[in-house]
Amino acid sequence: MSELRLEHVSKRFGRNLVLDRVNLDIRDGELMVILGPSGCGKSTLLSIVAGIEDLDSGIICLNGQSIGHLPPRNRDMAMVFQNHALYPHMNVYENIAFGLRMHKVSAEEIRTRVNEVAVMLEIEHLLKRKPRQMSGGERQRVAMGRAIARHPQIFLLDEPLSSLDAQLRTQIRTEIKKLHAKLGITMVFVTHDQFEAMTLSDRIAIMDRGRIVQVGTPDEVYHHPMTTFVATFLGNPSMNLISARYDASTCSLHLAHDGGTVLPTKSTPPLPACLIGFRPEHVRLEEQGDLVLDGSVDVLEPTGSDAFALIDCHGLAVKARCSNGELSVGRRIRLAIASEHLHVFDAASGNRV
Amino acid sequence: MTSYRRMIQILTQVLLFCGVLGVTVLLLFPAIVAFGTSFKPMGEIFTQTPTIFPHEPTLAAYKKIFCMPEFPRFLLNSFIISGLTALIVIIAALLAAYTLTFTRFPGKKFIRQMILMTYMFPAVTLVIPLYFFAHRLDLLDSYQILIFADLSFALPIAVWLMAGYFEKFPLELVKAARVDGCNPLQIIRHIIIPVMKPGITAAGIFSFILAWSEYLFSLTLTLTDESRTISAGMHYCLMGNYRTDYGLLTAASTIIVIPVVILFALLQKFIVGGLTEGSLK
Ligand SMILES: Nc1ncnc2c1ncn2[C@@H]1O[C@H](COP(=O)(O)OP(=O)(O)OP(=O)(O)O)[C@@H](O)[C@H]1O
Ligand SMILES: [Mg+2]
Repeated sequence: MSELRLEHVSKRFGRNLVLDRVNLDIRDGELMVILGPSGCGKSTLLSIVAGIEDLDSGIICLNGQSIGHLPPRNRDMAMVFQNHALYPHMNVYENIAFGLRMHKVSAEEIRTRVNEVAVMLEIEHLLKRKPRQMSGGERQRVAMGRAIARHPQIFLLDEPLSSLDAQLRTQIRTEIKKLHAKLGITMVFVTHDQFEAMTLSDRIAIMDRGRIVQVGTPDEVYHHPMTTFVATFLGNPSMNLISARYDASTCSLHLAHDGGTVLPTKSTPPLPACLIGFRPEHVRLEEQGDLVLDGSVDVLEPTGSDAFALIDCHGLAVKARCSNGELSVGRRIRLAIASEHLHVFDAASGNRV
Repeated sequence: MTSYRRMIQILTQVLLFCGVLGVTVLLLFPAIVAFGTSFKPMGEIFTQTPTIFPHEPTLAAYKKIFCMPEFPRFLLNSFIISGLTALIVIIAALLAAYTLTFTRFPGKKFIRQMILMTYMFPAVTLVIPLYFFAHRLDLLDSYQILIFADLSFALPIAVWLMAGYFEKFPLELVKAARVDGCNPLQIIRHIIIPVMKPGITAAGIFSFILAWSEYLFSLTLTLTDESRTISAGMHYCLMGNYRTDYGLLTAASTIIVIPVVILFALLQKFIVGGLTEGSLK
């Protein structure tokens, strides 16, 4: 059993509020990904969980017990760092064994565990090498091994793949997922790469400027974003957002840019100004739909299997996904989006309505 | 075409080599003369046509020095003072450089600058204040005051040298060690000292050499042979008021210089070697 709970965790660096009342529940055996843009406080959050940074206020609980005051050595967590941080003066064996030695594990047990990890990660042939004698991918694997050998309750990973090239990244990502399935250990994985987050996670916590704005399964956060930040941060190209006004007399939304298009709504937003969001892949080239827009193709970006089009709808830029060759630049077209694919946000707060 | 380019290349190399050789000879000339003189018999030191190397080399001067009763004492003093200076420098500079590199506190920049500022004072200007200082504290003619004087010159440079090494020290190693369960002392012992070994060695050797070849303070702050280092000691023993035995003096200089040459050879390797290659991407 290893459940981690953060309650109202705040952290300041000088005047800079880096973590703002963060609440997060991480379940036993879960692979939780913390996703957010650079500088939003992901590493800081992980450091606080590991005990490398002190927290200013709030509670951290491991299995219901407060651990916020404990030094890192008593927290039973292992961490893989953004730059792997292998000890340069030790060979791979010593690197993996070091944490165990510091925790007074018997020499015999250390040998078994290092060998076990080496087999699991296929690094047996590297055990005598120093970090500088290995490639980036090998180093990253050793860094993982160092954490795994500790048999920690919680496994913390801070952008472990960011220093690898694209191919290796995919490969090690798959390995991490396999490893998680095999070990059944609770993992917290930090990244700024949404694709990594989507493919790896059981659940994603999305961070923005020191706050966690939404927690959910990849499907939930993608298809049901709670704020405009989540809506635009996820998805590539990102979600279209267009402003609209609510008309109480007709219970409908009017698009701000031409006012003409009327959208019948199911629920009644009590707000005068809102934003309507829809994803590029939900745009259809049809005459009929709940939201209909007329425009002409401005830019076409083929991606191989399909293409992304930037469509100018009377001064409004709309991104759409279409099949390759379906459209040509300058063509006048009509776009339709079904109401189940429309997201409505409050224009002022950015929250979902 | 290519052979022409190749010739130019070789020519450049030869010219460069000659240039370097010339500068080296120029710089080493006094040392070479001293070295040669130390092997000359008495009569050959002042001759009509000066020579660099002796016609009849002899070890007489060296024998005489090794037989001097004060010689072992001077040597021991030098070793103790230089060794302790190096040890204190290593410990103090390591801690100071770590703090100056990685922690934030008000006035840090000022302190960094002040450390460099100490170089604005030539050693000579410090002789009289240090003498008074030693006299008041009853430290004249003691190891302590000589070590103190050496430290005041070695420490600032060592802190700067070490801070340079720490600039390249990946702080994530310390974090990793903490997660691995180290307390601060274990971090120093298992991570910082081994990773900083080149910096520590460089600072240590540098301070040792500085203290070993220090002459001015040993000359002024000592009264007896009890604490005199070898450079000042040789001065007292060999430079008479009316006559100086240059054979003995040059032999002594050669003996004094030998450890310095060996240490410099070692130091070079550490200054050139990379520090943390491979610990971070
Ligand atoms: N030791 C520190 N002192 C002062 N400010 C800091 C410190 N560490 C981090 N910060 C600030 O805190 C904020 C969050 O930093 P953090 O490293 O947690 O971001 P991150 O989300 O991990 O970013 P990245 O994806 O680039 O790694 C940043 O604005 C950073 O400037
Ligand atoms: Mg980070």
